[in-house]
Amino acid sequence: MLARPVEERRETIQEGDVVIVYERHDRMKAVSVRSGEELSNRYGIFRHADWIGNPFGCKVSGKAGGFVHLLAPTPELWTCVLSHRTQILYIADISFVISYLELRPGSLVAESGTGSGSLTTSLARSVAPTGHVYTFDFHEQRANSARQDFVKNGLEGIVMVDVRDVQGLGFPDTLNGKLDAVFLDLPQPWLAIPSAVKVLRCNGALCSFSPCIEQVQRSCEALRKHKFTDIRIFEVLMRTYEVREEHLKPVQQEVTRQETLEASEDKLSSPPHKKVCLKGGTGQASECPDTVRTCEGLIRKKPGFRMAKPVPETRGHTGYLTFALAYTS
Amino acid sequence: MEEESELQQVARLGSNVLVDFNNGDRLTFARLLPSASLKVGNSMCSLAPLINAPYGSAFELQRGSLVQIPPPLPADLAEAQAALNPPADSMLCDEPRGRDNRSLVDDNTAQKLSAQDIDRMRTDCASGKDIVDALIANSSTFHNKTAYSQEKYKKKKQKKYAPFLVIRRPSTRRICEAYAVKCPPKIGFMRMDTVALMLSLGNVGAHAEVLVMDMVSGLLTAAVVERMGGFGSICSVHCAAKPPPLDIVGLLNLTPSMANRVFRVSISELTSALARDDACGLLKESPHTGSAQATTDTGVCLDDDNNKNGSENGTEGLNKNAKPSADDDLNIHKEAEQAMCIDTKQTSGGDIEVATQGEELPVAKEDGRVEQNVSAKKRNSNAARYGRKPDSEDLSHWVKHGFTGLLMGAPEYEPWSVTQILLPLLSPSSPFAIYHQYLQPLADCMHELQVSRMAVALEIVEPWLREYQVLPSRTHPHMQMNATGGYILTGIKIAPN
Repeated sequence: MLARPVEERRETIQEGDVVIVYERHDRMKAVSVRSGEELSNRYGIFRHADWIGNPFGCKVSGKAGGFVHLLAPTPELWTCVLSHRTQILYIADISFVISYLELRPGSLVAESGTGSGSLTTSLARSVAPTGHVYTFDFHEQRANSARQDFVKNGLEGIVMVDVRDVQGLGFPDTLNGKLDAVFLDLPQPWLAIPSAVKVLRCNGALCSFSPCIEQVQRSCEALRKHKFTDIRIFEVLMRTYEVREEHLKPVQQEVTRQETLEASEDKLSSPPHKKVCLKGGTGQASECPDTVRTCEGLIRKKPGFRMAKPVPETRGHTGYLTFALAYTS
Repeated sequence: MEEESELQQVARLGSNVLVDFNNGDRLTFARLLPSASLKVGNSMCSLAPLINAPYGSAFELQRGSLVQIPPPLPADLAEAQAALNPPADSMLCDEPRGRDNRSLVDDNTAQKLSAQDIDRMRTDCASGKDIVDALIANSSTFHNKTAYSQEKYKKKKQKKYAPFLVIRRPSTRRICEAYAVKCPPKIGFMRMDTVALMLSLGNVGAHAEVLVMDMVSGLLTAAVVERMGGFGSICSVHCAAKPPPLDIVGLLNLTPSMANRVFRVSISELTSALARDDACGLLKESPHTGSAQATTDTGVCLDDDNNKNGSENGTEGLNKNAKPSADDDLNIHKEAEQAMCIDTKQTSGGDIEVATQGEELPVAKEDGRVEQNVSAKKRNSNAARYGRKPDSEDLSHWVKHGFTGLLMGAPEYEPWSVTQILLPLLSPSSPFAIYHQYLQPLADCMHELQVSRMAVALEIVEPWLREYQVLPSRTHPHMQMNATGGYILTGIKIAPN
C-alpha cells in the first residue's frame, strides 16, 4: 500500500501481495495472491499462479478468454473495495481533511472511531514513514477487523488500533500534548472535545465529521467553550462526469436528405449498451471504435461530438466538516 | 526532524509568514526580517515583534507598533452578547415585540462624535478599543439594535479602529486560499479542495516519485513537496525553453532536505532519455504510436526538432505550427488577467521584496546551491530558483522504473497532447490527475485515453466546496461561494500489451 524507498521498490506481483482486481470502474476486488488458488468472476476463472511475476497494472486472461487488470493497492482503491462495517468516508472528504489538517510525514494524529478504516488508510499514507495514526473504536470486533486490514496492507508500523470509548473516556493520557491533529467521527463529538484539547499540541488542529447540523451546532459551542480558534465549517462533495461521443443531427440534413435521416435515426438513439461501452474503458472498449466507425461510414465522415455530462446519481450529502485550532497560549 | 517540526510551529527570523488581518479580512505574505515592515491600518509597522512568535499568535497596533495580544476568541463575542442582551433567540418567536429596525432612520445624526473628535482621540494615542467604546457610547441608535446587529456594529468598528492580525504558517492549503481570493488566475483558478483531491488521486506520499507539470505558479509542486516531507522526489517538468515560475514553492519554509527533492527538467530531456532507453530495449513502452514518435506528434512545443515527422492529422499540424503565436496571445491574455491582481503583487511580492533587499537570508544555509540562489535577485531568478537539474543517473532511473504518479496543472496546453507524452513515463498501475479549468479539453483527453486503452478507472470529477456560518440561531451557508474549482481527469495507467 505505501510507497517504498527507491532501492526497495518492486514492480512485479509476488506471492502474498494484495492486488486489486479491476473489472470495471464500479467492479473491483482486493485479492491476496496465493499460488494454488483461483479467482472466478463473470470474466472467467483466473489462476493466481499465472499472476506472479507480472507487473502491477498488467492485463491477465482467464481460462474462458476474458480478462481483468491487476492493480497495486492505493488508499483510494482500498476505499472502493473495503468491506463496509460502518458508513465510510469517501475521497472528497478524506482528501480535504488531510489537506486542511496539514498532515505530512512525521505528523502524529488520532482518530475516533476507526470504523471500516477508509480514512485511516489515507491518514497513514500522509504521515508515513515517521509519523503515527492512533485510532480508537469502542467496538472490539470492528477494531480487530480493522487491525487485520492494516496488517494486510502493511500499515502495522504506522497505525495503532485500540478498543476505547473516546466519547466516554477521552483519549489516553499518554498522548497528552503530543498530537498535531485529531479527527472525530462520533455521534456526540462535543463529549470528546475536552479530551481533544489535552492531547493536541499548541496550535494543533481538530476536525469533526458529522452528518447533522445539530451535531455541528453543539460541537461548535463546545469548541468555543474550550477556546478553540479559527472555527470553520465546510461541506465537500464531488460530481463525476461521463464522456460519450455522439452524433447530433444538424437541422439542414433532415430537410434535404430524407434517406439519411432514416438511416441515422436508429443509430442516433444511443441504445443503453453503448453507454456502457464508452464509459467503462476496459474490455468492451474494443467494440467502441468499430461501432462508431460503422455509424460514420453510413452517415458522414465527420467524427461525433465528445460530450461530458454529470453521472445522474450522486451523493447529495456526506457530512459537515468542522475544523478548529487549539488555542495558542 | 526536530528542527523541521520546530520550523512548523514558530515563526523564525527569515521565515515567510501569512498575515491574516481581522480574521480573513485581508491576507498578506511577509518575510520576517528585522528591517521588514508592513502596512497595518494607516501606518507602516516593523515586523520585528513577530519574530520567534508561535504561529497562531495575534498582534494589535498600540502606539505605532505591533504588540502581542491573546488571540481574539469567538467566545468573547458570545459572552459580550449574552451580557448585553437577553437570550439569543429573541429574534425567532418568543418575543413578539423584540427590537427591530422599523424606527431606524439613516440621517447621519446617530453618531454624536465628529470625525475631528475621532482623529483627536487617535492622535492622543487612545487604544482602538477605547475609540470603539466611545463610538458605542455616543451612538444614539446602538441600544435599540438587536444583539446581532450590535455585534455586527462592534465588529465593523473594531476592524476600522482596532485591527488585529494573526500570523499563520504558510502551508499550501493557506497559500491556495489566499491566492484564490486575491489572484486566482495565477493558480489557474484552482481551489484548495481541488489541490487536496489531486494529491489523493495522484497517490502522493513519502517515497513517491512524482512527475508534476506545474504552470500554476508552483502551487502543485509546493503541495507535493509539502506532502512528501523530504522522502522521494518531485520532478517538475516544463515544455517551453523558459521554465515557468514556481513562486509558491518559495513561500513555504522548506528545510534544505525538502527543497533538495525538487528537480526541474524539460519534456524533451525526459523523452530523449526515454528514447535512449527504448533503443537499449530496456523498456517497451509503445502506446499505439511508439514513444519516440509521440514526442513529435503533438501540439506541444519541444525545444527543437518538433516538426520532423510531420503529423498525420491536419488540424494537429496546424495547431503545432500556430503554437508560438498562440502562446503569445495567451501570455498577453494572462498578463491582463494578472494585472487585476495588484493586491497580491504588492503584498506578496512587495513585502518579500522589501525584506529581501541587501539582507543575508538565514534560511537554508546548509545547502550552497540554495543559499546562492536565494541571494540572487528574486525577480530574475524565479525560474532557476526552485529545483535542481537532475543528473543523468536520476534521469535514467526515472526512465527505467517510471514515476509513481503524475499531476498536471497546465491550463494553457491541450491535455491530451501532454498526456500522450507524459503517460509513458509512469510505471504501470500508477495513477494520474490532470487539472483543467474547462471541462471540454478533459473530455477529449478522456475519450482518447479510452480509445487508446492506456488507462483504466477513468473519471472526470468536479470538486464542490461550501462553507457555513454556524452560530446560535444563525446557521446558514456563506452568502458568497466560489462557484468552480475546475475539473480533474483521473485514471490509472495500465501496462502496455
